Amino acid sequence: MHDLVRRRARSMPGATAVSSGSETLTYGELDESSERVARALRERGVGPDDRVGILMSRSPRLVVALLGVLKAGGGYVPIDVSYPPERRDFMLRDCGAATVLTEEALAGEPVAGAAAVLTYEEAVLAEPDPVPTGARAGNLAYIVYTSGSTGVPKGVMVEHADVIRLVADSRLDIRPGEVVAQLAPFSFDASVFEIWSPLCRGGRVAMLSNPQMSAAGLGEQLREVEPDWIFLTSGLFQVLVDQDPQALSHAGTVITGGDVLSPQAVRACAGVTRRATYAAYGPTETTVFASLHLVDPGEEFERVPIGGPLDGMALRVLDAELRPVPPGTVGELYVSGHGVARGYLDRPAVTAERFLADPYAGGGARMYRTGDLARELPGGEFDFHGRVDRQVKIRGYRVELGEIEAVLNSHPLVSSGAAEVFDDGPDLKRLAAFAVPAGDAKVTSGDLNRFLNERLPPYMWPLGLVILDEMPRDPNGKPDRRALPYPWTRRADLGLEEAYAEPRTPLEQTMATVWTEVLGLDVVGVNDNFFQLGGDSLRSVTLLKRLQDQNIKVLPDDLFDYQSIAELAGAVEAAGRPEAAGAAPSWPAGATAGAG
Amino acid sequence: MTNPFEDPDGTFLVLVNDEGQHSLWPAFADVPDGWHAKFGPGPRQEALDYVEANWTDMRPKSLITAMEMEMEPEGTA
Repeated sequence: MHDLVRRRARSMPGATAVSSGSETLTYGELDESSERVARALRERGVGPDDRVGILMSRSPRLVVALLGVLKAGGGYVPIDVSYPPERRDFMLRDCGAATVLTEEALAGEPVAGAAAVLTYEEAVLAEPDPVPTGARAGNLAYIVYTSGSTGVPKGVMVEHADVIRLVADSRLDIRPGEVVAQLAPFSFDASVFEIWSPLCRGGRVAMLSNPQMSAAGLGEQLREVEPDWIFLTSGLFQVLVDQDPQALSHAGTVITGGDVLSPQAVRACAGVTRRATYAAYGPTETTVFASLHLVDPGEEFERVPIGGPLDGMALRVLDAELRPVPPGTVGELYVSGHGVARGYLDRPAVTAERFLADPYAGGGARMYRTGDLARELPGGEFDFHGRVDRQVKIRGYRVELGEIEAVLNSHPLVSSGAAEVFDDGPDLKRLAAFAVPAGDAKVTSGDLNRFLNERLPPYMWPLGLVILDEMPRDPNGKPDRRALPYPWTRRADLGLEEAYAEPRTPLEQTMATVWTEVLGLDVVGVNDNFFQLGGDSLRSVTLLKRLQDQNIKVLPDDLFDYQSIAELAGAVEAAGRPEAAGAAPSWPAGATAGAG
Repeated sequence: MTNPFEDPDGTFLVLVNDEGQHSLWPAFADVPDGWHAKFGPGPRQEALDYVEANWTDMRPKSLITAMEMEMEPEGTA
């Protein structure tokens, strides 16, 4: 990697390599300063495969520092300054870095473990020392941490050769002088594309300043910088398309990915960008991007394809016996070829579970088990069908939450959708969906429920559909599903089309009290539908039992025939069934199933 | 669909390639070309324990060799 950058520095020393606002760094300056950093690191014993922690704020000299680590032969481990101290300490200890490169402004920050601290300011005082490093294509280039499903972050070890495969891809053909926006935090592997693809190919890294990650800030930066290439996480991309789509006409090639994309949004972008729009897919474990799909502004699809593999990679969809499934069938996605990382640092067993012998490549090759579900499309591209581990079982049915999200995201008025399961105890799991309307669009829960019900089997219908103003997001811009609100607390939040109607008779009053308790809601109107209130079959059994305890004669199937209080009370009265209507419930509030 | 690598009751091998890289492998599937079994068949946890105990240097073998050859002439030991 550093040899490719050095070659550019030799042939075009005066060209701009990195810019940030009015600050610029030429290839010549980048080359020289990074030699100094490399020497300072080498004098401290850094060599091939050694890890160097980088605790620096985002600026052009951070790029110098990263290149300096590579020139010293080491692999860099970006430690995000904004992370909580415990997380930073964990990463520094876990990666076993003997040296941490920081800067004077941050020198007071505690650094965990026995690592020696070197400030950038000290490091650049060293004499430049352009000796060839011992680093080879197989040596470590960087370690990026991913949060595993177990909650313990794992360091993904990526080698120079993996990055070279990305940089050399024929579709990511950045030309000398082209501007590539740099937006991603350094701890996020999209920054590897944003930095090394331009620097290895003679382009310019343009660091955008948009600390709030707002559409307004980003739009302004795009108009100013006019990048030829930009990667946007799906969340930020969607916000930009909703709020300021014209900003994308100032970008050349737009690449977006990271989570489920809305077909409307990618089409809208493809219609305005100067050059092209790509939907990208790629786990950190296969080095930034594994596949790309070129978006045709005219094409119609229910879900945005993840596309076809990068040069030198292969995507395969296999079944439970590790046999390829027929095209069109959903199975688990495996990625093989160049770019499959070395593994997880110091976690051999976890590595051996995910980085596997490849039965279809031969020669001892490995493949990465993504944990994603995909399907091969006619023409050899693929589309995404959610996470394997986002499969949940509800009343015996296996439900893929990603399927629901994909359908929700395909609604023309939805900018972002999420699905989650809320577990109130054994057999009380309930499925809820959340949607953020696109722009100023008016869309109701009822509209979206009908849309989902037309496209999904009944066991995948959410019991609650909540309209949100904005989607909670994690630091990487992906929907933070754990931050989604519990939907069944306030009737007003359920987005019912029915206005609240008070109970009119003692019987209705008793029923309303029982319904409220069983459903865990604040109030229930007499015309509200039990199933639209979050009621399900188990809660219907509980409800009927409670009504019977009040001497109200209900029958087991009543809730399916009479789904509101008014209907049920009417049926009970018509049959002359009640005996002791009007008595107050005798169980304590909150003691019922389903209370949220 | 349960992933064959996640089956807690499955029977597994541990495969190793020429680079010394280890892979969990379900015993029902053929051993891929370029790999050979170093452990098993056995229960999943035992296979993982074997990997944890035996794959101590995760660098590919060819890289280890190349790095060692580079170190020796310099006498840096």
